[in-house]
Amino acid sequence: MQSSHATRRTMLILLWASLPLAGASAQPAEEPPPGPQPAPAKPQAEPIPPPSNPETPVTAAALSAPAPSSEGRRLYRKACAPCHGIRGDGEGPAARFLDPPPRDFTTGNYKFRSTPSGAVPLTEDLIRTVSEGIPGTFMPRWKEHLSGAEIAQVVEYLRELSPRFREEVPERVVPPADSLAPPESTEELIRRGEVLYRELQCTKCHGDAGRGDGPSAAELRDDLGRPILPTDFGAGRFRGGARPEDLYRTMVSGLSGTPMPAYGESIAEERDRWALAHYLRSLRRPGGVAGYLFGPQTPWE
Amino acid sequence: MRLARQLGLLAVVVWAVPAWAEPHLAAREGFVCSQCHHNRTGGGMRNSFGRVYSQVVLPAFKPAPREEAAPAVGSLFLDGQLGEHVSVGADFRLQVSTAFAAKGSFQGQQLTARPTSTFKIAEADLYLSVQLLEDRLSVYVDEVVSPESAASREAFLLVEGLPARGYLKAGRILLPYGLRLADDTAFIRDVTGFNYGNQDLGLELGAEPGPTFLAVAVSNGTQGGLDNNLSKQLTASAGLVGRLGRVGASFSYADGSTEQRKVSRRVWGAFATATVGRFTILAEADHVLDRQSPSEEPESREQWAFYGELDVLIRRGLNLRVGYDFNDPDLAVPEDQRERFNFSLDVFPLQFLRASVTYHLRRDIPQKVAGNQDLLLVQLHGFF
Ligand code: HEC
Ligand code: HEC
Repeated sequence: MQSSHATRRTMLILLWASLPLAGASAQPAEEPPPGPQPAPAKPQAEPIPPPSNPETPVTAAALSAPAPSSEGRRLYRKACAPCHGIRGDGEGPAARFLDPPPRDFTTGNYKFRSTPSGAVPLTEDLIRTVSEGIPGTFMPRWKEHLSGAEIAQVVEYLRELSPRFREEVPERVVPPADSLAPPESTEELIRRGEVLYRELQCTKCHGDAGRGDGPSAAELRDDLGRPILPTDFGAGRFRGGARPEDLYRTMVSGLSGTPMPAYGESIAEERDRWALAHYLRSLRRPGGVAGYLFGPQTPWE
Repeated sequence: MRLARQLGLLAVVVWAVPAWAEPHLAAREGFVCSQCHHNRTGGGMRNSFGRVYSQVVLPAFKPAPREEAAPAVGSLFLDGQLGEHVSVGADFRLQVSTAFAAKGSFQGQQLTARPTSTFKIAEADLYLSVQLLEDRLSVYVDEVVSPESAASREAFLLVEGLPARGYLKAGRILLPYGLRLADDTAFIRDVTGFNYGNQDLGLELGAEPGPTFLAVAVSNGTQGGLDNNLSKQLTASAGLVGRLGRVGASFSYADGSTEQRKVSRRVWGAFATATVGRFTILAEADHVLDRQSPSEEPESREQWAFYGELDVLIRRGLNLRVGYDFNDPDLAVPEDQRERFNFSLDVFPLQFLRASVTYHLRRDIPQKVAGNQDLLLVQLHGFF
């Protein structure tokens, strides 16, 4: 046992150590100077109206302003780096026990987008994912912990982690959620959805009854080569969001990096998209007591 | 002499400062201890992920979504980081413990234990870690600041980044043995001596290759009171972690012999956890062999301790625990076993805060009347 004298000394050291460093943390973090903005590599088709969220290229004024992301970087280090890694490569200290693994932000590949398969997402997509979290995974619902302004800052920082955000102007293939008008779910719409579900062979992966047990389910791998299971719609839990608007977006733009294709072209009719969305939502099975007791536990819901 | 020893032991059981790690959380998530704790074998300061976990996953009530236009300062989110190099943390527990009346007898005499009730600071700990080289070298101090027992629980230099997620701790450490339970009064922690009240000076080398973990420590042996500056205590623990559970084994040997007297202690045990849905089970069994010669008492004493608990996550932030403790303190003595049934409700209402109510139903031989007193512990725990 140490004497209380030693303890007091340790406390003093503690205080002494913390003061200058606490001060240091308040200073703006060092930022790499933003590089020159290359012209968009391949200007793509016009965004689908309304371009309420144009991906504005960085202007000269913005370049001379204090780096907007220094606050974002600070927040990122605090709240995101434990999983996504300090360099944004998905290799945070906690990553190895998380399944699915945290996203590698340096590649610019994102699952949840309003843009074509493989393209970088819109800022609004990132804001939505960060705010709502990814249910059924360890990715938290950050709107419960960070303010809207903080989320915007951290998203700004995410965009700096991949040069693709500077090089590409993503095309919007899914209109903003608030401009969509999902029809009410009806028996007829759900039946139409079921027909499409079979016609388009969603069954191959998601299974006949939507339980994620289709004939190809066992062989599926994601782009990292890891085994990945198709969603079991019975659980009623959707990583990209469970509102009809969210399912609409997931089906139209697909989930990059996973075997889930983009169906924007094969389901051209607006009504059919809603039919499928409502059908998938109707597959939710009440878990019952057994589901409550033995069903998979999700980290933060 | 023997009774005195047993009473001494009992005193330890009742008064040991109970402290703290949450292996059931690790078991539930399929994590190793180092997923959430800075200290690689668990307990003490949470690391960056542990802090996220305790703010995002544990609390029962989600804070109200913040104003869209809230200013970008003073984020609620706390990472304990002071600048780039220093992180701090703390645990504070206030406990009201009530011991209920019990009756017993010794050599025909009636014994009674009167009910008592007392407030106490069960834990007040400050943690400090200074990163000297990022992810390579740091200094860690776990300082007990509760008035009665000021001391550093742990203080070590931590070298990380060795192959296979290997690390080296050098300094005052808690030895790597068994499940690092929150409750030091559990027999498996108490009679083996591997608990938060007992630390030792030495080196610990560990690694986490793939889904396995192992740690080997060489220390003075003061931990079991066997330090003679001649030989060392060897402690080792290893296991396998998977999504559904883990299995592991631990071993320790300490030799405190002198020219006049031979004294040694050997402890070994096995532990396992399993988790399905809302249920998590933890179990550990340990065998302790103490030898001493010459001695007026038998030259060797063997004991067994067992612990099992079932945790049910009723809802986010609310955990119900039912546990069972068993100890046969001397296999050569018939009918001296003691047991404990534990019921506990644990709630994390908000980030940084936990409250728990625990009832220990205790059964011991009639002459150890205090060992038959049931205990009710109500605890308020603040941490970050
Ligand atoms: C506890 C671990 C954890 C923390 C902390 C965390 N994330 Fe994640 N995040 C994940 C995981 C796991 C995924 C992958 C989920 C998946 O693939 O379905 C992910 C995915 C993402 C995605 C990808 C969405 C997409 O479209 O592909 C974004 C964006 C993201 N996180 C942003 C953040 C931000 C910003 C923070 C900090 C404010 C953060 N994350 C903190 C675990 C975490
Ligand atoms: C080649 C296999 C495959 C086919 C065919 C397929 N999916 Fe998927 N789908 C997946 C996989 C794999 C995932 C899970 C992705 C993940 O874990 O992030 C998924 C996920 C989803 C999700 C849920 C995303 C979320 O938010 O959690 C929806 C909705 C979905 N698919 C709808 C469909 C529909 C509708 C069809 C048919 C039109 C279809 N899928 C066809 C493989 C497939």
